[in-house]
Amino acid sequence: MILGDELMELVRSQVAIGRKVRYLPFRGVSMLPMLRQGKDSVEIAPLPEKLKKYDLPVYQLPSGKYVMHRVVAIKDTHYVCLGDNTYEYETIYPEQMIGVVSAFRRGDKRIEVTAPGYRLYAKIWVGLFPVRKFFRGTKKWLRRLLK
Amino acid sequence: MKLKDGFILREVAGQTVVLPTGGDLDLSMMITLNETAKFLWEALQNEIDEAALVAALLAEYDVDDATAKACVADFVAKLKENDFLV
Repeated sequence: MILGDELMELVRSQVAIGRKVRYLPFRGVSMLPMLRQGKDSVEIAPLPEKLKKYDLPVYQLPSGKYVMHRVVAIKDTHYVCLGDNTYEYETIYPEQMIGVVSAFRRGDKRIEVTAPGYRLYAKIWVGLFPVRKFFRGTKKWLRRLLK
Repeated sequence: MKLKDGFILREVAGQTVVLPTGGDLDLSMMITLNETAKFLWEALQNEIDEAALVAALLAEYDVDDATAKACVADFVAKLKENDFLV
């Protein structure tokens, strides 16, 4: 999902002085089914020393765009990130990282990223990636049959 | 009267906003100021009374006395209502 440039300048300056910023709207479908554009929003906290698997960092792409996706693997020099609803792994270096989601608002409910239910969701969803990818392939194949 | 401490002005997306300086930043607490409100906000950084605010507004902008008075009264009322003044 994409975060607006103008608000992100503010977020950047605030997390740099140790403040959390809540709640930020976003655009896009890449974090579905968890985060829905127009309905949900996120709270961004300063970066920890090291991100962990399943964390939701906000980072800047070389294009300048601000994106929030999930850490799915940690390598020696970089992180591997993936949107809950995307299929391409991204290589993100620590210097691209700006902040990390500490909680989000889903509808009217505030959910902390430390909540057990959410942690379980994240583990299951990431674990289901091969299945998700397989079904995407199947869907594409079936669609071709109809052409 | 004077503004309480704990707020800063900042430009966000081409607009002037007031941000609380303590604790976390809740964007729902962010207030947008128009040009006149920004001018009055800055004047209220120091102790000033309503008559002096009106005079300052008249000196800065091309408005008549009644408009300036109404504008100041309205802004001060809003500040009081939201507990921004000492």
